[in-house]
Amino acid sequence: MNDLELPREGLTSFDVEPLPAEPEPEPPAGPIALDAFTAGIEPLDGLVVFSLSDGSVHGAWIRADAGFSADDVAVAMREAYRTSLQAARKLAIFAASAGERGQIAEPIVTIESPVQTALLRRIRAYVVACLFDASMPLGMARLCAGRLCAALEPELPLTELERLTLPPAAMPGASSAAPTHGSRPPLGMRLSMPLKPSHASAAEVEHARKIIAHAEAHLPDAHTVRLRLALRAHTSRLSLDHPETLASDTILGVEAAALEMLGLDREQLTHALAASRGPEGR
Amino acid sequence: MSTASTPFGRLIRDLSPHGLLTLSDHLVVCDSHHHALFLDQTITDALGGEGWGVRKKASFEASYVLLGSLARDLGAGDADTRLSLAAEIFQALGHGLLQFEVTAEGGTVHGAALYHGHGFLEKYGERVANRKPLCAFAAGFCAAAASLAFPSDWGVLDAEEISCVGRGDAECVFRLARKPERPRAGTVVTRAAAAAMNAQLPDAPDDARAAESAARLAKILDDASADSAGSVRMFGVRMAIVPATYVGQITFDTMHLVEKRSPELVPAFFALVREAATMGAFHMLGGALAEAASKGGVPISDSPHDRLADLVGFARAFGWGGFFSPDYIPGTSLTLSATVTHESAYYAARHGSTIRHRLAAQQGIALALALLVDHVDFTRPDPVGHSVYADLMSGPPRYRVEETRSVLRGDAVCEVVVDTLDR
Repeated sequence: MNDLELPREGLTSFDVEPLPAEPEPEPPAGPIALDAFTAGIEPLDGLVVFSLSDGSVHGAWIRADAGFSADDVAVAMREAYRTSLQAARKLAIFAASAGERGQIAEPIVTIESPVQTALLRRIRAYVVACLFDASMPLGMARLCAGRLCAALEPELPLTELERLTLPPAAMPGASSAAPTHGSRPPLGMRLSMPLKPSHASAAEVEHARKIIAHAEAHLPDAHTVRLRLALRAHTSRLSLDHPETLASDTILGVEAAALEMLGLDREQLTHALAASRGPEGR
Repeated sequence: MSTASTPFGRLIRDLSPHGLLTLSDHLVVCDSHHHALFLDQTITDALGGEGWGVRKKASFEASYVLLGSLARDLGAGDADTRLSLAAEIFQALGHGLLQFEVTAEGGTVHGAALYHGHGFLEKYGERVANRKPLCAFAAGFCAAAASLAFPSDWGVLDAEEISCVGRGDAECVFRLARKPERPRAGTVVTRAAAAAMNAQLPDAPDDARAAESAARLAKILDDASADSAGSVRMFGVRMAIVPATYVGQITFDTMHLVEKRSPELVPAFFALVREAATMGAFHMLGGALAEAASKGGVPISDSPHDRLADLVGFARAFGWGGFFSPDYIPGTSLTLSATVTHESAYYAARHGSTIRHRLAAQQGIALALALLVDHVDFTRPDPVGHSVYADLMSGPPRYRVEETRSVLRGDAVCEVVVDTLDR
């Protein structure tokens, strides 16, 4: 029989406000298990967080029957990310406006194959690789990957890359001297610039209005629907009262939240919205 | 040993005057399917798929401690006895039926009429197309029961719900497998710890009425028992006894995660947790008042003050806390105070003091009381039906609910004020 007076072990990610007397957890010896982040995402085959500088696996979750290991993923995906990073920098040089170069140089890499879809995003000195089954719609895979990255972001070390493992592409006339520590990298070479949210078009705003109205009409407890959508789509309740303030990616999040809450897929929702428009609206 | 029809009175003991209930040595509360489903839904809204893990973990930890205590108290030593004890307790508390087919290596558990999965069908039916399994509490309970029945140094038995009636499957089925993780004992709010908390209620005429109502409802609850399907239907709701630590842990673990990851979302999460409490309290307290009149022959008073005292007494009998209302102006303002509540007791035991607002359940109960005493016509049929609640919550008047005092901030009592804004 198990003794109930168990010694308390290391804290999980759920123990966010531990008792003062509780000892600090020992740092993990190997990669961190990411099971808590992946629960409920059925088409996810693997989630691997690896260091961009040396390729070491920081944390991983791999489906038991996936047939590959976290180290395999880290090695292959690091090379893919490094190559994409270099290509993105070259693209950035030819970008229309200098202000956008830093954004373009921060790639979100998508690799589609007949059996799998891999999405790679960088968080400081780490890359998060999300591997989905190919049956997962790409938009949904992007959304899930975005949410996983958002959830992982606070958990990852705050260390930035000390140096860029890929030297900047040689530019005609540019100095070959290595940048000194702390110097400002040239535009197009910056890796930490946040992406600006893109403003939604009028059609997207109208689409958002219809989705919110449809959800309120078809879900129980209608007075709570906007709060629930806001919580799921990571936006404010007020912004849903004024969809014209929403960015494109937030509208995508609202749509995904509504699909989950209504238990519909995208095609069913499209049909439902078209049907609710009435004959004159078709 | 048969607890299939064991009345609550033989399982649950009240802790007066705290307005709390205990099973064995652990704090429990009377819960309705309205509250349970909405709170679970809110956890999922906040955490997505991770919410299942939070709920199952909380259930495992609460059930592991509770079942361990009961097995010791009742001398259940071997695996079969422990599993049958767990199934009987699960049924007697109103959570449905469990059939264990488990060995030390793992196995399967079949569930029937489960509180969450079946409750979802009863509440929403075909209206919501759910695609996720819902019975996280049952999954954690099964895993805890099997881990206690087959203890191993190698790890605990973990449960996954592979089939759930809540998403249209024919039955609820859990698959158990050994997981290399040591069992964790959850935070326990013991009877002794709760008894040591302040519980001095005011000596006022209204409180005498509330105490009388609490005693009357406690008598009804003592005689109540689950039916052969393991469900308890009273006061127009499906009711179950739930460990207070489970409710507290899923609420506050999620709240802390949201605060850490996306602090701007905390108000939305808090409002939804409060909504769960309002919804549950509205139906349960209102149903109890209506049933006391229709079946118990106790007329519903015309005085809103008397109705409020009755409802406050019922809230104590349900084990929600030592409530009293020091100030009430009909249609304008209602103050609900408590010496201790199940949520403040849990938070104090697990996390200690905080300057932040944490009394979401008390806020929700206070709002439900304001709705019930000011706006519900108890002379009409089905006075607290779904449509009545939906109409009240979607239309005017609007309310401001404010947490003005809290024992978690060092005050003597927890206090919530509900003001009617546009009368």
